[in-house]
Amino acid sequence: MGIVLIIFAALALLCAVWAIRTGNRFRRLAVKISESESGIDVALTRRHDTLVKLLDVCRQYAGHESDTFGRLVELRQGMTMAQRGEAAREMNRLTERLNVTAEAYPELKSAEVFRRLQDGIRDAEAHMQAARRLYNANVSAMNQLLVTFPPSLVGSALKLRPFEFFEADEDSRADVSMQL
Amino acid sequence: MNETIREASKSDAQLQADLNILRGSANRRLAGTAITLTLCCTLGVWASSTQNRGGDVPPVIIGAILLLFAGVIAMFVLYARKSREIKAYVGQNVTRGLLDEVFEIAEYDHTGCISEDLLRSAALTPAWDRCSGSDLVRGSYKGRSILFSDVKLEEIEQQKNPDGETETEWHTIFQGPWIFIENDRKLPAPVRVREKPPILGRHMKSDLETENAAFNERFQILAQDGHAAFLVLTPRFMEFISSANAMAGGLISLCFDGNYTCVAIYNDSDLFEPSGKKLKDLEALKAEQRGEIRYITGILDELLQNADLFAERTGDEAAPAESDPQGAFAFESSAEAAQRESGAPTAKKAGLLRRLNPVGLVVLAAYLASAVFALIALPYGITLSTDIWSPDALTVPTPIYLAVLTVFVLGFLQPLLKFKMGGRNRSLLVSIAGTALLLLFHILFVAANLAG
Repeated sequence: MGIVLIIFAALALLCAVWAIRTGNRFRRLAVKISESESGIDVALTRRHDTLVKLLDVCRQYAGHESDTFGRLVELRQGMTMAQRGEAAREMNRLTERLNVTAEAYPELKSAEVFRRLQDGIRDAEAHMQAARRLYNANVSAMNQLLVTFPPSLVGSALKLRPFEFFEADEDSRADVSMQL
Repeated sequence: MNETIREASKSDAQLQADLNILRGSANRRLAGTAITLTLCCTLGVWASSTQNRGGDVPPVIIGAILLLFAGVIAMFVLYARKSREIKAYVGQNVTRGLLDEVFEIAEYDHTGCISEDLLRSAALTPAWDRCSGSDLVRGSYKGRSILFSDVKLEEIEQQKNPDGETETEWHTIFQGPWIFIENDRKLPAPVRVREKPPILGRHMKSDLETENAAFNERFQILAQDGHAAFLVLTPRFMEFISSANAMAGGLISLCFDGNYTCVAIYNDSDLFEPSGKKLKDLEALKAEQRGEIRYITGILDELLQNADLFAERTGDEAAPAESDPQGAFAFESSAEAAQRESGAPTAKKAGLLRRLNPVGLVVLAAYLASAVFALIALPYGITLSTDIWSPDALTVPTPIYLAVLTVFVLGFLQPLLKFKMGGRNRSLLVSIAGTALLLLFHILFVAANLAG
């Protein structure tokens, strides 16, 4: 009887240790996701600020066409991942329009400030891509753990739900679509 | 600089004639070594068999064997010296010219190697104790500062043999080229990518996983800042690293840090090494060395395709770096750059502090103080028990004695407190030897007290 109790106690202890370790793993991943989410916000803000400056420069050179540029999307606190994705796509579209405008205005295209801002946009886009991939890698690790048994038991106990991916922009998707 | 001793360019015919003379001389010395060794061994075998049969070996024969043995060493030294002379001649008159065709060379030193500090800052290999290398090239390629050389890294291993003597062995843990190239993007934190060896690599855990499963399987990614890692490891660049591995013909590792990108290829090769056969044919030698230069430029060209790290340089920018004609560009890691910008202590001092853990320093100070105390105070001021292992020894009426014993124990714990003196084994041996020495002093002083 005594031995059985000891075995049960040892098993219960092992289960408790495993549950604590798995719970900590979930928490660590959640922190990582939260960090990478703020990385996305930083990259979005950086890109937004650079676009504001680029827009100002374009207005100086092609003010009468400023209506065609469209509005720059506003970033706010507490945006969902889908809203952030939409904001990033909006910025892509605006960048594209500004580049098209620059083609029609050689003096704008050759302006030093315009070229510098374009470099800034490229840099911000690289940071955006890195932040997106880091976020998605963390979300992927979390979601895989949430659907794997037995860690899923701990995940359910902690009331964790699969996290939302930060979707690739439409242009990136178009790159891999088959042209039939 | 080596440039000053570089001879005026010679014609191929002249070079071949010089090489033939040098090669002939080296071959004669090698043959002399072999003949002397054969004679020495023959006489040695004869003397040994004579002695085994019960006969006496004349002293003149023993003298001759010793003389021949000294001759073998002398001949071999002369051969080694001539080989180095050939290497220097080829380096200055052949390799240097070929390098000049491709790179803007500021420095070429056939005996030089990349500095230890720079190799350590890249941290692409496990801990090593000794570094050597050859064929250091510093200059620029397509307007960017570069630095490469052959590197051999070795680790010391000390073991006790059955006789109780300490045997020291050096194990090569890396041999191959290291290439540093200046990049444009200054990363906030270093990113390291190391190819996993076939079997042992399974245990190499990465700090993060990319979306490329095949890449994760083959490479270990070390990065404290995940954002910096994803900034460098774009999908296309990961494909390049995977394909570069096939081209490199060895295990490839990359480090992106501060203002440089570093590639280390563990392929057991030695660049620009003139082999005996190739010395007969200058054209074959040149073709071989051109191939080795193409190998380096191939890797550099592939790296330069990463637009995120290396912005396209056109016109004047792509021309040889005017601002850096002497290759004075300093490759520095992000930690060194941060230190320089903040005006913190020099790298050398920081390196020392990094190696000597503060806790270890305190223990060491206490350790030395206890040794001095044991030397000066114990024989005169304190009465000790006759048997140091008896419980009476602990009742010696002095807390200082207990403090000394505590320090002995701390001495044993010293390696656990991460005190590093240049290698795990050495640290452990120093600790044990130091503690044993103190105990010996202690026993001697007890004996001295008893005698007194």
